[in-house]
Parts: sequence; structure tokens; C-alpha cells
Amino acid sequence: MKTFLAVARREILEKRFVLAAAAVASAIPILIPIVRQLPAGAARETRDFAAFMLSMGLSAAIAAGLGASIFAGDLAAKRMGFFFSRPISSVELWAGKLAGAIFLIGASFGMILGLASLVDRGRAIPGELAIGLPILSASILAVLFGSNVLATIFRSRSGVAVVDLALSAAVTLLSVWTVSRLRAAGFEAPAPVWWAAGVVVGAALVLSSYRAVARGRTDIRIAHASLSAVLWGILGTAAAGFAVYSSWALNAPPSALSRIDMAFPVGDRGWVAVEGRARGLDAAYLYDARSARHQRVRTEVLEATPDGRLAAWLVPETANGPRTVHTLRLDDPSARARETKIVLSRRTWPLILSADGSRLAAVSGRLLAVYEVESGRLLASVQVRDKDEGISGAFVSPDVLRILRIRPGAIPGRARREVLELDVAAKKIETVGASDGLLSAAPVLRSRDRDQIVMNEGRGSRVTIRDARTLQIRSTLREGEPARSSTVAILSDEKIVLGLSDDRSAWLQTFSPDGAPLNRVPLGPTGRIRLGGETARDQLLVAVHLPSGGPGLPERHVLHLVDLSNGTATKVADGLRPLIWWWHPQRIAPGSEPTKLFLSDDQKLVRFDPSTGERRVLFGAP
Amino acid sequence: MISEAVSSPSAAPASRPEEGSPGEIRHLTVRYGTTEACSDVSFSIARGGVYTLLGRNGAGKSSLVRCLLGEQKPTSGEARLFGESVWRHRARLLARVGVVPEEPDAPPSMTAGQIADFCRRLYPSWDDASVTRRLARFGVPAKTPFGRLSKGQKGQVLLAMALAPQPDLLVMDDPTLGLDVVARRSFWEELVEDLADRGTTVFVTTHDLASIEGIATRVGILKGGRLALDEDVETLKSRFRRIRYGNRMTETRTEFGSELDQFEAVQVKVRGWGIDAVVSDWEEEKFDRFRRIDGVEEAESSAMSLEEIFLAVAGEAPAEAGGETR
Repeated sequence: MKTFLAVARREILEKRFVLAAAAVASAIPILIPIVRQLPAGAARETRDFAAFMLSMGLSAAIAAGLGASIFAGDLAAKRMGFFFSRPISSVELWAGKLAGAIFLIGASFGMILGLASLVDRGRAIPGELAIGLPILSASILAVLFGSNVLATIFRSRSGVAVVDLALSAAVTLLSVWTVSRLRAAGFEAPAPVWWAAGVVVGAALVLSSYRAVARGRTDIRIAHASLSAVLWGILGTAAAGFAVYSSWALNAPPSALSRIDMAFPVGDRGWVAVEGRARGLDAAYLYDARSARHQRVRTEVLEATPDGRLAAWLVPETANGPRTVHTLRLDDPSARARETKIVLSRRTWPLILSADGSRLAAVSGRLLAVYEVESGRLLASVQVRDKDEGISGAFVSPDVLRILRIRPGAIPGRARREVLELDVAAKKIETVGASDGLLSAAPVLRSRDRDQIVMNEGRGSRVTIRDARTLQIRSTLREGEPARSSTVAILSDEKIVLGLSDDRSAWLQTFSPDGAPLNRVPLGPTGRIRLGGETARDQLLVAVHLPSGGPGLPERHVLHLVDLSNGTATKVADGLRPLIWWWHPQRIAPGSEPTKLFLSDDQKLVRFDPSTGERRVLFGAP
Repeated sequence: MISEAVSSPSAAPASRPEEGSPGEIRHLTVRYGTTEACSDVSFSIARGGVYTLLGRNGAGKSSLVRCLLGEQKPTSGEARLFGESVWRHRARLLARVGVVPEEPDAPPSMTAGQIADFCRRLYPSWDDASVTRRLARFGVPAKTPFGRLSKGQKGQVLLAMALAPQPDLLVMDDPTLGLDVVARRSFWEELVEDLADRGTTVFVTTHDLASIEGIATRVGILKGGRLALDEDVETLKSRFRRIRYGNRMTETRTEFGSELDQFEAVQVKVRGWGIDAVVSDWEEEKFDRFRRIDGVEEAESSAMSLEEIFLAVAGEAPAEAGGETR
């Protein structure tokens, strides 16, 4: 300790001119308001600002200067022998010199702010500084150590500098490449990752600085070589480790999913889009539950043809850059994902595929564009958005795209819905229908065989069957008080099922395709209803999401098999909810594979056959 | 990681009879890339002696000194102080060592007083009076920055700092390099005085052979990075002699060149007047036999100075007119 203090004291004495410079600089913030003859309030503001900026700027400059001189300067001038020929250990010398430098930086910083604070009676130090002080200190230290590294490299005039240059380029490129890959895969680094990166860089700077002193001692070339070995050893290992980890994480199979956040079927051949977290990163897949074949995708914008033969999704080139449309033939076991020539902006939603998969419509910002999938050729482009209207749509035929646009109305809670048809060949769009109604988050369901839609407004307060083109009401299924929850499905035989719940109970109400009431099926205690697939004609799976029994207690689903022909419901499983979302345009045939796929309450993808009771976990949380 | 004991002046060991040599070099090799500065050098410094390491510029002396002081890690081999590895225990061992470097390396902005003040805190004992006395004697101003002192004054400051902790070993790397005759003499006088007072062990490299001759007890000569010679000065001077003689053909002598075969001749020069040779195994009896060789005339032998021996072993004397070296 005695030696350490002696070294630190000597360093301060030798570089005491720094304190003199800081003393002179501390007068500047006091003088500025006087010279400019500012009034008291403005003078204080100016003084505070000038003192803060000057203290930061001067500290950084002093850190850079001292960093370049305390070790590299003495080594280059062959003056390290003065210390190393005396009973001073490397660690005492290294720490003592650094402590002296840090004291000089801190004292200079404090002198400038201190004087201004004194003039302002203790008010000059801004509150933001207190909050940012750790980051500011770390930055100043980074300048000190970074400057030491650069000075050692350049002042040694050694050929190792070429290796340094090459390694710094390699480490930078590897890191940028890795980060780009991760960002392209949707990974946004959380704060701990940046802190970890900061710690790695900091450790590399500090340890390499120490190693240069301890191993190089009086020879700047050996010091440089030692510094480089540690610096690039740490940074290179970290960058390589980061790259290896990211490759490992990005190549994670669906079975590595430790949590499933979302899953929905794509077509009725057994393909599922599943999204969750695998090996520490967000991950999304197209997964074939029958063959376990999978394809990594982004699910934010993923669409499939109504028959589920072709899926399309967007792949970002960079995090904020354009997205390229990729496709996969789901009906061809040997097919591979294909990158199309269609490039869209980052703000694209939704994608709409024609029934035959030959055309793709995309709404990017205000523009609706229709492309030929195979060639990537732009067929038509029109403006469909003025502000933030909700847009959905479907191809009526390969040449006609029908769009439903929802504009929030002038009265809160109300909305205007418009149907527009785009003639792709003629590149003309016209409004063909409109309706004013309640604003609702519930999606519009389209009938597959009739040109009609089911619209659920205001949480079940008005549920109507409408003409899909004109939005004219054909039948009203329900009108009255909003339900606690409401959901709608159009079954394979075009019957309509309305799932409702109030404060006490949950039930289903079935309707004919024309809207005539058929029967009501009670589902027991109240809960949010999730309509599932049909195991057979008139056999519908329904999950009721029961609320938690209290804070901290898990929520749970109860799965019922409802016989719509006689209006009875039988509980078949606990803790499962169907994957099927009825507003997806794909046809899910009764008894097809997706009707047997469920998400369990503990976030696993489960295959469950209600007819046999066989239950098998495909993957998910361990 | 480097392992190096943290210095603790108060814990510096006192000289113990059973501990190793004050300084020892074991099979030491120093390489810079493909250039070999020292190769497999071994020697030991006797307690209380003055070991003088000689060698031409670039012979590897400074590399060796840096290794001996733990400033540089040898490529192979080891340097030891007081029986311990100096690379590993440098800080602790240097509490017993005074160092005078080849180039004055003290921070130029520090005055002699500040340097002394700094060094005082590092050593277990410190003789302030000797520093004051020494600096006063040579007129070194206490408040002038080191960078502004003359080269001679810098040397005296560093010698004063090296001797103040009353070291067991004094290591000096060509300490009089660049000094004028007066400064050189005063430097060595100071040293002799201190040695007489305390019996400090000294390791010195120097080109100032005339000055060191009266002080050195043992000499090592580095040649091309290898230790060509390591011997007590008295023994060395007794076996190295210069022999000069006339060489004539006689009726019974038919060829030249074999008369020196009984000696280890390290240098033979053919002059106009005869032969001028340096032999490394001179003995009275051998020389008597040599004088009686037919054709060897007016043979005489003379003692050699350290400088002459060094020139004969490590290099060549400047060529004299008409001279020829065999």
C-alpha cells in the first residue's frame, strides 16, 4: 500500500500541470455570463451548462492525454526502468499510476463544477449528472484505457500493429455480422446484453493494460505484444463465443423451444406456425406436426393460401431494413424455402395470398401492391390508407382483391367499414360497400362458400351476417348488452357458432348459414371461450378459459367436446386450448391434424386425440 | 498471468549466510525474433566482489542486465538474485539492489530532491545524509529538474540513489557512458569509496576498462552473445601475456610457424621486426623453453592490461601499418 501510494503521489506531482489547467478552465463558466452581461437567471443557466460541458470535455481530454502517456509514454521514452529497477511490483506500479491519473481526472472535473457550484450556492451540479455519473465515469475510464491501448500500439512502432489492425477488423466484422444475424432474426438486445458487452470490453482494456506493464516491463515492443495478446484474446474469444452462441441459438430446432407464446395451424395438413423462446432468443417456426419437418420463419407477417398449400412470410435483410418475401410449398415434402424477388418495406401488414398462391398483395404504409409471386413482378399499386386504418382482405379471384378498411369514426367507439375492390388488371380500385357501426377488435369472418361475412361488433352487442361486398345486413344473430366475451366460428358446413359468456356462465349458440337459431349449449361456469376444430361434422372442440382462483394461482382451460346436433357438451381434457383461430382464412377440415393440436397451460405443444384420449407432448417448456 | 511478489520493504530479508549468490545467470538465452542477443550464458557473482562484464556494442550486455534485474524475461534460462528467480520475485529482491542504468531514466520533471523523496518510501533503509553529501560534493542542485542536469550530474544523482538504500548488490550498466574524463573519474572514486566502506557486491558492465581495472575482482567477456571468458582478474592477468620476438631462419631451422605451438595463442601479428603474439596460458617455464628455440631471438614477455586482454579476446586492435593478423 505504501508503495502504491508513493507511485500514485509521484504521478500526481509529475502531472500537476493538469490541475493548473483545470483551475484556469474553472474560471471560464464564471466569466461567460459576466462578459455577456446576462441577467441573473440566464447567467445561472449558462454557468451551469458551461461548467457541465467544460468539465466533461476537459475530463475526456485529460483522460485521453494521460492514457496515452502514463505507460506508453514512459515506455517509449525508456523511462519505465526507473520504476522497474526499484522494489515496486508490477501491480503496484500499474495501479499506482492509474490511481494518480484517475485522481487528476476526477479533481479537474470537480474543480470546474465545484467552482460553479460555489458561485451558485450549491446548485450548479445538475440532477441529471448524479443519475448519469456511473455511465459518465465508465466512459471517461474507457477513454483513459482505450487511449493507453492505442498509444501502446502506435508508439511501439512494431509490426504487431498490422496484426492488431487485422484482428480489430476481424472482431468488428464478426460482431457486426453476428448482431445483424440476430437482429434479422428479431432479437433486440436487452440492456443486460449491452452491459455484458461493456464489461467484456472493459475487462479487455483493463487486463491488457495490466498485462502490458507486468509482462512488457521496460520494453514497449514486448508490452505491445503482451497487450495485444490479452486484448484480442478476450475480445476475439468473446466475439467468437458470441458468434457460436448466436449460430447455436439461431439453428435451434422447434424442440428447443422453452416457451411457446403463440401457435396457429397453417392449412389442414398438419403444419403449425409456432413462436416462442429457444436458447435464449425469440424463435418462430413453420412446423409439420406429422413429419417434424420445420422451417425457421418470422411470424409477425406470415400468411398462407386458404388451402394451406403455400406459406409466405417476410425476412428482414437488416433490423430496420427492407423485408424480402420468402415462400414454402407446404404440400411438397421435398420443397425448400424460396426467396422471391418481392422486397417490401419494414412496415408491411397484412400479406394476402390468392387462393392459387400465384399472387400476393401487401399493404406497406399507405400503399397496397399486388405482385406475381413467381416473378416478383409488380402488377398493381394503389393508395388504400390515409392514416392508420385497419386493413384486411382476400382475393375474390386472381384478378380481384377485396379489401375491408376500418376507419375510426368521429364518435368514440364507432367505426366506418368500407369494402374496396381492386381490379388488378385494370389497376383500378373502387369502394363497393360501406357500413357504420361499433368499433371492435373482433375480426371479420368470411364464409368460404357464400359471399357473406359475419361481423361481431362491440363484444357481441351486435353480431350480424352481411353481404361480403356491400356490407348489407342479411341477418342479425345477436343484439343487446355486450357479453363478457364473445367469439364466432363458421363451421365446415357453414353453420355459425357464437360463443358467449356473462358473469355467471358460458355457452354456445348455433345458427344455420342463413342466421336461424338452432340450439344453445351450456358450458358451465363463466370463462373466455376459445372455439376449436371440428373432430367430425357437428362435433366441435371448445375450450373455456377459467379465471385464476386468486392472485398467483395459475389460470386454466377446460376442453369440451360439443355435440352440436343434440346440444350437449362433454369435458374431455384439462389444461388444453385449441390452436385454431377461426379468423384465419385456411380451411380446416373436420378431423384433420390441426384439430388435434393444442397448447397446454404450461406452454407445450400437445397432440391430443379426443376420440382415444391419447395425449402426447410434441415440444415446449421442459 | 505474471506472478510477482508485492514488495514489502519491511519484509526484505536480511543477508543470510546460506542464501545463494547475490547474482547468478543460468544458461540464459535472449532472442529478439531471429536475432540472438545472448546464448546459453552462465556465471555467478561472488559476494563482496566486483564482477565486470565486458563486451563490444551489441554483445548482449544490456539484455543480460535487464534479465538480471527482472526487467526482461529471458527466452530460456534464468537470472537469480540472492538465490531466487528475479522474474518472479523482482520487487522483493530489488529492495536489496541498487541500480545505475545505462541511460539516465529518472522522470525529467523531478528534481533530485523529489527523486530521493520518492525512492526513500520504497526501501527498508535509506541513507538521506549520504545522498545530501554526495549531491553537494558534486554541486548537483537539489531543485533543478533532472532533465536539465548535465550528463555527469545525472550519473551522480542516480549513483546516489543507488547507494542510499545501502544495497547488498549494486548493478551498473555502463554507468559512465558519455561522461567526460573528469566525470568518469569522480564517478569511480565515489564507487571505490563506498565499496571500501561497505563491501557491497558490484556487477558492472563498462567500456571504461582503464578505470575498472583497479576495482574489478572478476571479469566476464561476452563475444557474439556467448560468454567467451569468466575468470578472476588476477588469474586472468597472470596467464595472458604479450610475447614479442624476432623470428629468423638458421642453418638448422627450415620452417616458421611452429614455435608458438606450446602456447594458446589468441592473437598473432607479423610485424616488420618480428612476431607480436598474445598467449592465454603464459608460464615462466614455457617461456624459458620458448626462448631457447632455434631462430627465436630477443624474445620478451610483458604483462597486459585488462583493455589489452579484452581487445585480444573480444575484438581486434585497430590495424597498425604493415601489421598482419594470423
